Amino acid sequence: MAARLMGYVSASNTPTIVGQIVAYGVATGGTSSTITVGGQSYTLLTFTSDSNLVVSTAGLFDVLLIGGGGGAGGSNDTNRSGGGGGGGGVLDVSSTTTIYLPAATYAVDVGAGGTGGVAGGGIGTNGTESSIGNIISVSGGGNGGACDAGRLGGNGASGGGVGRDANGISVAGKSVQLSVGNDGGTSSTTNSSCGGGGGAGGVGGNSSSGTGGTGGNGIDISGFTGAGSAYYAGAGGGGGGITTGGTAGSGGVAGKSTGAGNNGVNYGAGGGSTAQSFVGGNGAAGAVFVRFKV
Amino acid sequence: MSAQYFAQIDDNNVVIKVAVVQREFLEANPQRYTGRWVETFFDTEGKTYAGIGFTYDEVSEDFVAPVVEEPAES
Repeated sequence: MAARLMGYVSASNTPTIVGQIVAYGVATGGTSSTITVGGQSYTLLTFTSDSNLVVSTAGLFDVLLIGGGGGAGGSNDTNRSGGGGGGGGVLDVSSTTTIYLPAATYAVDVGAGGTGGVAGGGIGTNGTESSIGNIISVSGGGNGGACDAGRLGGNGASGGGVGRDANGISVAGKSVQLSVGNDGGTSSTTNSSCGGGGGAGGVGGNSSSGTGGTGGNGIDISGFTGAGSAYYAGAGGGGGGITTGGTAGSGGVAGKSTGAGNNGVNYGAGGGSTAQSFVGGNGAAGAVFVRFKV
Repeated sequence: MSAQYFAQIDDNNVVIKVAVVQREFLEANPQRYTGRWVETFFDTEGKTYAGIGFTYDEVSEDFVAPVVEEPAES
């Protein structure tokens, strides 16, 4: 069985064939389109829900996986808020991930977004991973915590916004895959405003006094998908604030000071949190992209 | 086509997995989606988006979040 690659460029998955150059393969699945990136034409397969990738000709494929965004923490009362959900991991744009796939059918799973925590200080749930068969995967974002003891931001591809441990110490969720995400933000004062969730492109902001932390930036994936304008995936959600919610990072949603938290919108975006006893926002689903040269 | 979401529940109606999957694909692949699955809604008024650990209430046909315990810190 092939090794399951977690969060790094899969050069080791490329076979060494002496005297030959391995060409791009051919596959079907998802929604197919033709794109041009850097003067090169590709067929792009876009998966926004579970499906199959059918490789008819073995070869190389560029892949981009985005995990589901984490759900934000729910707020407890007028004096407490929730942390933003961590963004789903984004693998990989800065150096395109290219893998070799033999001819076969591969299950593609798209990570679901996490659920926002309930009013009363419930924590959110983590987003889930996106994967291609047993070949490659990327984690979902960590859940947002709440500004109460024992309600910590979760670890994930990017960490969720702040929670507090049993000693009341501010603890942000951590990124478990540093190459695809970043830590969440912390809280500056006890029982007040909460940090933002980490994003694939940056850490979540810390809260300050009555203002929630800024959500971590997502990563622009348009260079992979050939989109005409920037599209940021994997952003963290803004933290809830007693007076002002945390601002949105690139591709993310803002935190709030009252009312239900904002749900993530872009692929893998974490939910935004809130204050005054409302539910946190849900994280957005991830996506899987596969492309090959034509 | 907008995304559909389904939650897998155990014998106690507790959610153990949430999938982003179209109904037709789920029903056509029972070997991949074993057990019991219930549709959940991401952004619909009056419906709770299921999370792992939530419980499905067959009467209200909705998901209920776990009870939030009192914090150790006041």
